[in-house]
Amino acid sequence: MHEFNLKMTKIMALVVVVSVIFIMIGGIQLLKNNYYLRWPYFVLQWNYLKAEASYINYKYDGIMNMALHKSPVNFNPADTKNAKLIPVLIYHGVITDSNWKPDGTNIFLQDFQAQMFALKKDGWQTISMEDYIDFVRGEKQLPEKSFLLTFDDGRKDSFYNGDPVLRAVGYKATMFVITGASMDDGQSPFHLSQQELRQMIATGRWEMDSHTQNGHGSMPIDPSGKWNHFLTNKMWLAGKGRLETNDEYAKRVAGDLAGAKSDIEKKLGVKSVPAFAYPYGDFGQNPSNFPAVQTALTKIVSSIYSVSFIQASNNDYVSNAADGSFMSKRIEVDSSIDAAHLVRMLDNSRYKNLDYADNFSKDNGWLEGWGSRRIDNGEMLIGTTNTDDSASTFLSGTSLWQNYLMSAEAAVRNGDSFALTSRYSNEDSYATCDFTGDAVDLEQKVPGRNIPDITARLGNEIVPGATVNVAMQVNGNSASCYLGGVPVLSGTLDSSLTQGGVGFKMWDPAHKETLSVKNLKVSGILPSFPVK
Amino acid sequence: MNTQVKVSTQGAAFAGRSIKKNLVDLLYRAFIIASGAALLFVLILLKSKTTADFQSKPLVFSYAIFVTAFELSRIISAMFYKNSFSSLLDGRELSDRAEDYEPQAAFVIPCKNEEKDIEDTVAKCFKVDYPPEKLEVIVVNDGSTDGTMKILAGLKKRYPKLQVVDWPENQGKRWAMAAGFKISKAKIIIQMDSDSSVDPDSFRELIDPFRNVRVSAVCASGEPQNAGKNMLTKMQAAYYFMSFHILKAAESTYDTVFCCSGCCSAYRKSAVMPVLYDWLAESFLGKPVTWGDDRALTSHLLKAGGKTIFNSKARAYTIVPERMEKLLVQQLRWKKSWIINFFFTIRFIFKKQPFVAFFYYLPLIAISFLTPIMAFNALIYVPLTTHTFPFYYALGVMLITAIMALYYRYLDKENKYWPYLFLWALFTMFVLSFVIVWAVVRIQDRGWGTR
Repeated sequence: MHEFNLKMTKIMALVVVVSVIFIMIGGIQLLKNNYYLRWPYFVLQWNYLKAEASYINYKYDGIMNMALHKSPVNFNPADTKNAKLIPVLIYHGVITDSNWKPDGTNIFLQDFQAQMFALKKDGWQTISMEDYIDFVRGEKQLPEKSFLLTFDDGRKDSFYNGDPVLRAVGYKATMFVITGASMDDGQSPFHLSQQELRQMIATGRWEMDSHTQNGHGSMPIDPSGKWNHFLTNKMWLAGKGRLETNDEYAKRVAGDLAGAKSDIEKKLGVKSVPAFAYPYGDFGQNPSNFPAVQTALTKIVSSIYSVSFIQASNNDYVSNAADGSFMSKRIEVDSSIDAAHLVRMLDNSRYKNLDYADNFSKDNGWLEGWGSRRIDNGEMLIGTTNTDDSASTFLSGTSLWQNYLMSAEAAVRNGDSFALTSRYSNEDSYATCDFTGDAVDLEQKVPGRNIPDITARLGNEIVPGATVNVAMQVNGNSASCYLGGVPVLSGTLDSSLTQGGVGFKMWDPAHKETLSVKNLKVSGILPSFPVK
Repeated sequence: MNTQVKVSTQGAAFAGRSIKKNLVDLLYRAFIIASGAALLFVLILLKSKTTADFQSKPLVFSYAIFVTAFELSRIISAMFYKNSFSSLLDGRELSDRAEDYEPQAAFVIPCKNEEKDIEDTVAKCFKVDYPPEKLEVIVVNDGSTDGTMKILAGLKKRYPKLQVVDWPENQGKRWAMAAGFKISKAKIIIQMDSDSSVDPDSFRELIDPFRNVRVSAVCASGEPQNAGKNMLTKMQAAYYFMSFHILKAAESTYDTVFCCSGCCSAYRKSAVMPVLYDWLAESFLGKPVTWGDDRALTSHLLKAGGKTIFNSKARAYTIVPERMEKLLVQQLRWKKSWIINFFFTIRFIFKKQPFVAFFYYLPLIAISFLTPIMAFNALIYVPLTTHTFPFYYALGVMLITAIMALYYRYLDKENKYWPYLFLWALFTMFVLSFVIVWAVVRIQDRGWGTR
């Protein structure tokens, strides 16, 4: 008869309330710490679906064709050769807001997606940071068409928009995190939170490396209140009325960089943080109130990290060789580079074998130092621009060339001067044969040194508009200039000019000349052994 | 044959209606329960977003869990109320199994200067559904200075059975009640405020539970008679419904209603008499306690080991304050009596009702005193220091209120004041939670303010 038992009711009420408390505490902890039960996770899943659908559509050239083609259309197989050069791409934010205007830093999701799909189709594969470092140190061979994909700043949009695309194509990437912005309580609408970073690592697609702790910004650098980059200047100590000493600078910068590393190790449970990306790509090359900053900063960075990354400048090769260098170049990609262009750029950046011939039927990777350059119907036309009084171009993928003879047919419209470039490493390191109407100079550019030109007089053999056969040979430490197949000048190269590629230069302050180049041939020369 | 067919069709129709009604009811309840679960999930979601970690702010975190669990514990306890109540009359403790349990009953109405309401109140007492020969009505005129006594004299002519005690000097409500208890010959005494009335048809519900010998007091469910007057009274109507049908019901599940409301409660005279003088002599910090008679009397009965219960079917009506300052004065008085009563209750409740003490009374005390601190922190300190609106705090309070409101709707689909529960919650959050601080400060002021 006694359906109601007060004792049982009390026990039951107690059990229910205790369970409710447990459910609440458990629920709060679960929702706080578990990424899966949060709104952004569903956004991410939706983005995955969209990216997968787009990729299938891309792979089979339209979803309707999927039934017709059993396999993806025109996908290049992975390369079996070993890579001698590895490009590194850098992205920042991946934007979906259609009102956003390209700003030279970020990229629209559809552009990013098109680039990744196109790279995948062309056979490019991403590599891990560890593999990259081993490659640079010469300790590991990687297949051709390998590249390192990096993102800077630890932005939420790179993950939520970018990751679904990476998942679709099976790429992985490195995120350079500003740990001071990401490791707090995760309330930032812009930077990824600690929990999100952990989640990214858990996907297996993301590695975390350092982009400073709180050093991605500016600080006062003089009494007038001028601000400049944190890492590459001495801080103005207003209280003391002076700049930092060298030691104070080193302590501040080392503290920040070591802090970033330990944040990633401890708070994200990452075992090693080998890489560092300079904020703004500024490693001290920009104006600074600390003249010796490059040396000082490099010393600090290299004491904490194994490899560092900067953005490649216009006058530089875009790829990185297995030369053990501490600083690597990255190609900055934004919405101004379309997918086909990016694929061409990476394809052209691969090591070019000697012997090499270029009939200029297409662009094989002629990089613009400055001036203008156009490849058109079998010739390359080089000219000045409104801002540049001279022009320089060099060929991507040739940075490792050593001994060779380059020859070409050249003609200067409305002028009589131009130059062949050899052993081009960067804008501060190369040798040229300068042809100027009645003379040939062997000119050398070496950082920090002024090497006198060697000159040979000619007759008036270079006539405006007329085509001449010119050549330049570099072999060991000797260089020769040829005109019409005849050596006209020889000289000794500086010991720093041991390797580098080919290019052309012209100068024309009057802005009326155009250099036309045809039929470039570069033949390798086997190293000559001294005969006794 | 025809008749039979008719009857059976009617029966079928009736059965059909009742099945349909049951189905609708079932669906309605299922909907309410599902909504409750959804709200709880949203609440957890909200807390997970806003609550500090236990490590960084243990007090805030614990408070957030604690207060939510407490509110839910009230609903959970209230869910067992019906079973608990019916078991009182099924069990072994019945003295009288007769269907027509009709002991002598008496209304005791203390009044002072109530010329406006007293006639109506007395008239309603004589209308209740109970054998007239078993009913007494005693009015104690506690030193009225207006025409109350004149009206009572007139009433005496109309109702010869009316007993009037006329005191020329004001003695206080407790003494007036005590006088009624003493002169009455009834077994059951219904104490009523002079502006209250009992629903005549549900009067027997006040008496019936006393069949159980251990029941010392029965609290009726109070409803504002002037509920529709304005926003404030509508809010109070919602609050009264929650307060009686959820909070008092929850207390009643464990047979320990802590305050049998002064507006209308019935007492067993034999249970009251032994504690009458202790109750009359109540003082706090050297001064007699002039209000909180209902709560104090209930406590004495609980201390003596009696059961104090709530009967949701017994309905009483009362007049609630229509203006804010009156409401605040009333709330201040209630809070003060709650604080004073705490020092009495805390001394016996662990011994008499250990479960209720730990499960309800201690948490209630903790929450009552923590809430003003937390509300100050969330509503004033944090917004002022961080320049943010306490959006999430308010949302949390609203979510808990929504769960309460759902149960409110579950209990009574007809009561239309439920949306005002949210307003009441806001009012509690911004105003009432701080009244307890003021009550502590003004505890030695034993005046009634105005009524």
